[in-house]
Amino acid sequence: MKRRRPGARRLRALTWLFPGSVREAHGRDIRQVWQAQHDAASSTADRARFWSEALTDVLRTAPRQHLDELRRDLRYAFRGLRLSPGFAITAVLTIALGVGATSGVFMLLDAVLLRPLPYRNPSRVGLVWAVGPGGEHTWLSAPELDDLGARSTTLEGIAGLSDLRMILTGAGDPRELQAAGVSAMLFPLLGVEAQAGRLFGPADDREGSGLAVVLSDRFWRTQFGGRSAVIGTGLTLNDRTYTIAGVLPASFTILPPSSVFPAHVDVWVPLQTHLASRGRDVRMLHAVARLRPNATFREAAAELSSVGLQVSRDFSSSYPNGAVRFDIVSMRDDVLKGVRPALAGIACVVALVLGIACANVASLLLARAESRRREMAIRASLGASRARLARQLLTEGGLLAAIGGALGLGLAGAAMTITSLPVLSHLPRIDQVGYGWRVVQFTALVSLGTAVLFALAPALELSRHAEDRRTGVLQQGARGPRAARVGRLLATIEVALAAAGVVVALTMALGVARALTRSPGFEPSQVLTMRLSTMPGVRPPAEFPTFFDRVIEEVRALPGVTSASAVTQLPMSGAMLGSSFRADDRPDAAPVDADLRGITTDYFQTMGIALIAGRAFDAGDDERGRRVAIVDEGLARRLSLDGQAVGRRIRWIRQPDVPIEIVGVVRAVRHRGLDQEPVETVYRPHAQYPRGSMYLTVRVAGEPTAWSGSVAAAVHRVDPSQLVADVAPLSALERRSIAQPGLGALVGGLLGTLALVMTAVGVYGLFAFAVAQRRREMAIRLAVGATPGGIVRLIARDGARIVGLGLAIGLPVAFVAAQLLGSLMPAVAATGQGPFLYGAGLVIVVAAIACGVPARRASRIEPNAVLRAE
Amino acid sequence: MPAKDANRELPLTPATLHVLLSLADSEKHGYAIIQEVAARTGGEVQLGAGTLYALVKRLLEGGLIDESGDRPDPSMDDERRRYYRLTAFGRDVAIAEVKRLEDVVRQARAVRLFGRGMRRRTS
Repeated sequence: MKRRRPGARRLRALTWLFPGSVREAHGRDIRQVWQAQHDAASSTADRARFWSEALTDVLRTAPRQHLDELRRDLRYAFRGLRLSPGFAITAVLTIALGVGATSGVFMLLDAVLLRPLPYRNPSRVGLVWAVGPGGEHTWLSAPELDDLGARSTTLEGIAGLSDLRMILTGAGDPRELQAAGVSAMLFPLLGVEAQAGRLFGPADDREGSGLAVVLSDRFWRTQFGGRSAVIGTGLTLNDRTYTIAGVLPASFTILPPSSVFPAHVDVWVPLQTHLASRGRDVRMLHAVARLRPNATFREAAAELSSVGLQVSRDFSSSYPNGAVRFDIVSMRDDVLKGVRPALAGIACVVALVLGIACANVASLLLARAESRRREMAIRASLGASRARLARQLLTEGGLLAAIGGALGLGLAGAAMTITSLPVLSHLPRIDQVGYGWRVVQFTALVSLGTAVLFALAPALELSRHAEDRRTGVLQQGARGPRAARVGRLLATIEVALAAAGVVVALTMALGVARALTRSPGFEPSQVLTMRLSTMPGVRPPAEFPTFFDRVIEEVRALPGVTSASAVTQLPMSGAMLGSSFRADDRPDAAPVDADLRGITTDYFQTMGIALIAGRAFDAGDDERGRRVAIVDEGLARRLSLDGQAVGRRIRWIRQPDVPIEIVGVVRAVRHRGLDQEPVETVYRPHAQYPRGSMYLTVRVAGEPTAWSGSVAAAVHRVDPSQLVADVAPLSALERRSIAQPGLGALVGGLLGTLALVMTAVGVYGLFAFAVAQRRREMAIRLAVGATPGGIVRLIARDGARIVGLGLAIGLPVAFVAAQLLGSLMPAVAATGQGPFLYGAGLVIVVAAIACGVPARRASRIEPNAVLRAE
Repeated sequence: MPAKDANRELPLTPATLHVLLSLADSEKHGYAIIQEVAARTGGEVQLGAGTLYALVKRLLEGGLIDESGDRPDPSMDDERRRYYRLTAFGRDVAIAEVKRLEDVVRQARAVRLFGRGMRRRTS
């Protein structure tokens, strides 16, 4: 036996830096040269020089050889794809659709949700909430905000935010701006700096200091053309002069912490000087906090809970319902919370679509590998190693993935035109959707992942070709049992994935469709709405009711107007005024939470809200009359078991010494949106609950927007200076309320359809190929007396087995997914077995067609012709 | 098969020309080529094994050299080695390159690139 020479092992290792082809052809020669040089080196210094030179030499030459190899492989792969354009186009399109769907969804989600917020160390920023009796998050009052700031040790700082409407005058026509009142420390807390001028400092928070305003980048550009000269000049808001302190950077966004906070704010003003109330029970502030460096959200939440107990003890008279509890949630979690279910659903379906695309391409490659067995066997017998052939196949897969991925990226970009749809305009950061490094990286990663997934099957097949070489099999015969097994397995996986995807998509779509067909509790068509806000100082609150009465009278006189009224919050606008009421005859029971709305007399008639018991408000229910209220059926049930609420008395928690008599009960309204349950509501006559800002609701005999001009003119006949804003048909609000779940269902539905189509293509491809491979077998069967029907049955049986097994795997997966979705999305919860039946039915029909066409073809084989050809 | 045009392979890199020259008189294995080139250039050109076999691969593919088989080298421990030889085409290419270089040298002389000092020393 030969003794190993010194250094041989290391020299062998060094040759591994060369590509396989070089190693195969010249590896031994290279080692021999090295060995000779190594042996010739007599001293340690010589040997060191040899090693350094050899290494330098390899590092200089090997990369180029790898590159040459890759270029050759790519050229070969390109040629291969050009020679079978049908295969190439199908594979590339399949990958493009799968990757495109994934990238598109990622692009959308990344911009809106996933991309870190443009704050300093955003993962340590959280939202602080008070916790309502039902465990729901609600806002904070100003004193509570101060308490938390003073007593917490885990928070570096806490800042309050409140949304405001401000009227801009002195710059063209008066118009209403979206404003936000914020604690001076909000911007330093988030780590945001002004792009021009300055942001707020502690002095701005003090009463008596000059009024300062900070502009958003958008408002600065549209109103002032982005001129920095406006810094330090005045801006008249709500009849007071503010000094423009500075401008926020364009990238700054505050993700709306709840549905009532606007996605876009024009101007920012100091909170303290704009607080509507300092009452401990007036909870209307959002709060943003930053954790101290070593604190966790869990620790902070525990601490805030105990602060709640202390505060409740110290101010027990302000907390009649028991102790208040505070909670903190990381901003990211809070933002994701509302959309997570839809997100999860879409992510599921996208993953399934991508999985099907992979299975499809794998199936295609497998079929191709089958038809290339001869080529591979010849190449193998000519000396190409298994690694060499695997590398070739992988290059082909990589090339397909690269082309498909690039095309998919293009498709995804094209699909992003949906971001300009008006229903999406209220989504935060929607204008930032587009190509970016993250999207490109993600797409590259997904493409690479799919390449690995779909190239796996052919790579496995390769080991068989290597056997072919050993056993000298060169003839092209029927599809081997092993390849057929892999093919069937892939088709089964596809059917399973498609079944799961279709059922999940159907569950979402049916859930939303059901929500759409549910009655909102009012009649939204043919109603025009607009907001009338009273500028501060224009008229005293006592005159609000008379003003609105006069406006309504004027509007009602218009031709085509059948009814007119006003309300403090429109249904489905997202605006709520949570309050509490106590029943007089049950003084010991806990107060009942309800939404409080002020209305004028004809509101129920205008909105088409049915009166169930008692009466509607009339002119007698004015500020001198008895205090009255109308409740909805839900609250009536909660106040008394028999639902007989009329005649009972309740008390508003804010005015506990004033008894209010319930005079009527109306149908419940889905105030929060069609996909949500109704909220218990108390309606008060506006004369007894005067508000300066109300929505006019006008029922007309036709398309509501046609009356916009004449209604606004009627308003201006009462007061020419009155602002009219947010003119919109009520049906638009209804549509907007289901925009988000609707979008989820739409995207889910599209993806589900895509999954189904791709599966159809995959199953068809499998059977078409199998039938083509088994022509000889079929011909023999037919020749020895099998009927065409028997052939169809033979193939159908095969198909049925695949579909049956696929459904047996896919439906339980879908069941688990649907359960998960249902627990997160109330609208989806009760869709029952419908989606499963329809989904399974759809998959069976599609698979039957996909397998039926090749089966029919097989049954028409001319045995004589086929066997002669053989 | 039409004869390949040797001029299309030009110009050669110095290393390539040296390898072709080393095979001009006899066939050699890789290590012998390296040694021959080093000896003929007085150690000026030291080919690394990686560089040599990258060249050999390209020359084989281009048909400038071919393998003349595997056999032991008695001077090298009798281990089997792969020998290479110059093809007729390879010879044509080497000749064409040398002619090209001669031409370059002639032109350099014509424009008196070497100057007087150079001429004095050579005369």
